[in-house]
Amino acid sequence: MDLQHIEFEALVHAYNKDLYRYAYWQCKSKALAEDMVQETFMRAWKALDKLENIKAAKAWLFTILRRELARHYQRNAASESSLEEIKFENIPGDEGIGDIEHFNLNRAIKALPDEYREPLLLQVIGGYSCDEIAKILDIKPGAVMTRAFRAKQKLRQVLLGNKSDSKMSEISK
Amino acid sequence: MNCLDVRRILSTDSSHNRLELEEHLASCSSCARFVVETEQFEAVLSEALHIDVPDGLADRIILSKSMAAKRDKRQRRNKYFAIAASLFLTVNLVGGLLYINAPYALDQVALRHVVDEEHHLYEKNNIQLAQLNNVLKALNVRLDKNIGKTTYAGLCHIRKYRGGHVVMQGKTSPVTLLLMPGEYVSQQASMNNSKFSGVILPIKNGSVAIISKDKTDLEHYTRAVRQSLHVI
Repeated sequence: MDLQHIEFEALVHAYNKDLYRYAYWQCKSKALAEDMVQETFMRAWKALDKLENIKAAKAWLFTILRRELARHYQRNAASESSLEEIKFENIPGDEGIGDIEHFNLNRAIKALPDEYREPLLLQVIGGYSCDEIAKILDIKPGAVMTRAFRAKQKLRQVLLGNKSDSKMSEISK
Repeated sequence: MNCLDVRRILSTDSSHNRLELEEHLASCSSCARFVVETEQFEAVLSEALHIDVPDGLADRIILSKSMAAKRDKRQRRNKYFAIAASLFLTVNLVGGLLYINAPYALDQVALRHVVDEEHHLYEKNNIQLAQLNNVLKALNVRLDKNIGKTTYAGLCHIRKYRGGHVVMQGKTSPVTLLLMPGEYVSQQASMNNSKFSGVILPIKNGSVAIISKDKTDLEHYTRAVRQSLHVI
């Protein structure tokens, strides 16, 4: 097997899970998430000689995946998402969720506005810092922090109830 | 750093350096409690987001890449075959067009002409050299001397040019000379079909086909034409 094949397989093994999880939360469909990740790696394979720095591989793959998702949504508008939402909502425990609290959290993650969910996913799944997320999304680091905060605030409200509302509203002032 | 700063940092950037916060946390139980709640929340959030990945995903990705690479290779090979086939077709088409003017095609035309006008082989005329050259003058050729008893001499069309059709008596059977101005051949070539044999000779303004059933007559008239037929 030549070096390029070895490098490609190493990238697949290293990043396929994070890419899948990111894709899943963005498109809310297992099948579509897998298709998107497949397509991402196909494109990565064709452009592998352009990857000069292996340290940039993860960000590079995430960028390809984001573009694939954007292309998909441009082609298919909103026709799929409503059906998947219904399926998701009717199957608590489908994603290994143990109880209703987790089910509610997962539904809340899905319901986050895109501009809030994306920084959250890149932070928690991608492991990127605010500065790195700012570069990926082409927004200011301050905007990343604000959006991530608002995402967590919404999810925290779901998970912890209104107990922390007063504390959180104090912080946001 | 005050409570508000600490909580804002913990809520927006959980990867923030904790050392900066430790001094405040050491003296503020409320914020310390907040840290614990935040860490618990982050753990639950992380667990929720890190869903199970379908088994074998990596293997399927690698397999898809291999299949795609094979498909690309096959498509490239097919493309090369298609180009080769197109070239082959073009060469044959052009070659076929050129073949019409090639000696080998010309020989079949000449043989067929003799078959089609076989009745001339049985003419009983006795045409003198001067009369023969009178006919051949139209084709810009002449015979220097009598090379055999001429029983027929006439003009005809052979393919797209006007030619001469001459029949002479051989030792055993008639010999046909087809004079073909404009039909060039690069060298002498033999020809035959089920009835006749012959040769095609190049001359200055085209070619001459000499056709007979008898090989000996053929050799005689081939020599005679080479020596005595000239372009004027």
